[in-house]
Amino acid sequence: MKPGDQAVEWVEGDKLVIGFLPRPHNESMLGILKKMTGRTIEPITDWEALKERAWAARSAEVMEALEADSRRHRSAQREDAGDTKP
Amino acid sequence: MSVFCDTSVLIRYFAEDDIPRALAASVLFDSETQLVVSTGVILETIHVLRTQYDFANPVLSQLLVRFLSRRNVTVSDADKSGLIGALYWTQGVSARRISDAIVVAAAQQAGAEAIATFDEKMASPTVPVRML
Repeated sequence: MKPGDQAVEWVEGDKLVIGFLPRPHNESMLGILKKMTGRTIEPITDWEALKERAWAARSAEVMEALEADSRRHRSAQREDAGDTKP
Repeated sequence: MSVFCDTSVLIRYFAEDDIPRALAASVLFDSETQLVVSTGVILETIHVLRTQYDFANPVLSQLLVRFLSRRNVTVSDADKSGLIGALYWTQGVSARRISDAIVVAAAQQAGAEAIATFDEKMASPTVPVRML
């Protein structure tokens, strides 16, 4: 925690959690991923293909959540139907 | 002067994948220019870094919190403080939930009383989630 950091709070279950955000700054973030992870990435040449792959991957995740919801809903319906059988 | 920044400029600045071009991004970013980004640009940046380069949390949420904490960055379609708070909250969970944080910040900005979803993993520190 440093002077100027900002506190944020939220509720988790029955607890009030307080976190501290960095103060507003003007520091350069050039190459920050390399500094944070030690990893480098190859120069990107085809931005369109890169973005398309990223959105396709995200779409697959959204579909996964929808399919999980449908499965839950169908099994709940089956359980309800089972309850009414003599 | 204000300049709206596309996903490619953010990624290149953060990743420094092509040094001369990243320096061009740095000349813009590390200046007095007011940088404007949207939730769409932030989402796309995260999707690329997460799904194509396997960067994960807490790195990604820390990266965004730090970027949005820059004095010269504004967000065109969400409350910046609310967005930073929601992103900070995702540091301890999967980077997949960063999208949720952006949705939460947009819902907060809209003054919504609930977020309707079919996604049982959707979580929000502020606006209540309503599973349909």
